[in-house]
Amino acid sequence: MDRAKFFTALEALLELDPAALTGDELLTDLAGWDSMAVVGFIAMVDETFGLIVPANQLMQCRTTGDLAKTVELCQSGGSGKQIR
Amino acid sequence: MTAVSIAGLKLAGLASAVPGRTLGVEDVARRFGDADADKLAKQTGVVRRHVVPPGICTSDLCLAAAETLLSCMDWPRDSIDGVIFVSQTPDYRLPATSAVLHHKLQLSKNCAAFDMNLGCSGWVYGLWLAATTLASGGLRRVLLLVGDTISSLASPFDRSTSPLFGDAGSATALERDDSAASTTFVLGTDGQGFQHLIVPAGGCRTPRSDATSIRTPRESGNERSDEDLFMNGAEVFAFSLHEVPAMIDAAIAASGCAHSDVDAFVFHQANRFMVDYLARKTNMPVEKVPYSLHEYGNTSSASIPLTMTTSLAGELQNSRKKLVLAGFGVGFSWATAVIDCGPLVMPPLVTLNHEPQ
Repeated sequence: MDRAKFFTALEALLELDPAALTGDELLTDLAGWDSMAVVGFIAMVDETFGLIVPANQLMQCRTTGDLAKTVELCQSGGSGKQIR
Repeated sequence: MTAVSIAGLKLAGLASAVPGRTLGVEDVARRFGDADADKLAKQTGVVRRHVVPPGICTSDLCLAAAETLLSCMDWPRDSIDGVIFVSQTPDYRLPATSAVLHHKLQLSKNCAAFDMNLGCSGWVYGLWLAATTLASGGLRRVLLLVGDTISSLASPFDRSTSPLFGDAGSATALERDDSAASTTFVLGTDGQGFQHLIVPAGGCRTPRSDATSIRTPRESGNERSDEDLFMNGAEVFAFSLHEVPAMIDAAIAASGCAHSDVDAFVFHQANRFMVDYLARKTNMPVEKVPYSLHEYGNTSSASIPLTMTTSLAGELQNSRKKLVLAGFGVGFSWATAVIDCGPLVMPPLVTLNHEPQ
């Protein structure tokens, strides 16, 4: 997965400045990370990478880097569903 | 499930009813603050909802819709030989609410009546069940009464449910007509998702108790009891992405029509974000996707007929249209119908202000 592309999309989703995210941010510290953002995240990954991320794995993520790893795991066939 | 086509189903009439009492963004703001209320309205698309006062049930809304519909049709009451009530908010634990409605509608004793417990997919499931009873069950005229009062199940302190759900009931008149075109259905279930949209207590698995009635702090600052509705929005959205586009493609393919032949795609009104996304993903032109959720909220099993009443009545009263109707949610359960219908009897939306008898 293109991590730069991932973080750019995540920054847009959370209405953050470009290059604001490094991967170390705690999700609990991000004001915009709420239940609707999780829904928006699933849609963003579907649109950007053509993957449906399992929602239960997102609940276990602590940092923005964990979100990236979850998408990568999903992409490598570890979980989720490749749809196109 | 693979697609099935059933011949001989005629949709003769449809009416929908909502309670007169409304709640708007200003009421959400009073509970959760202006900023959160505006954000919720933006995300869900719900600006106003019609919500029952205490004492009004789903069956009252369905009864009002049915009485209005029958007053516009030439169906003698004793010609109706089937009543199906689809809801998650029945009058009683038992008996079936369809029996109560059978009585209030003064129908003949030569009438089958039963309930079905389904939500967002319920109206399309009901249509399929009515079609099968008309095609092979010996019935000639069926009243399909579908609705919910989910507002009565949502904790007012839970921002994932209380600002979203509105209440509505519907009545659909269906009859056997050997000259009617086939209706195509696709239905499916993924019971693994049962715990993601649930009222955990109050049934036989976890009966009501003092403990289940106490509202306690839950995720994201929400408060609810185990007798209140719980919804995991992320799981519901992920499931919908998996199943809904595939179900719609399968139904259209099985019906033998082209995507461009369809006059309107009526989605269950889950929330604005989800319906917009699913419409885009299935390449549906925006002008063919009607909405009712901005004025009525997510009305569960009634959302498809309510949207037809509020957005498509003008066209359906006077002409024949090809509709794709897609319900999906609690269960998880999903159902799509591809149906040719109209001209049909469609009275204006009924507003129930008076107390039930």
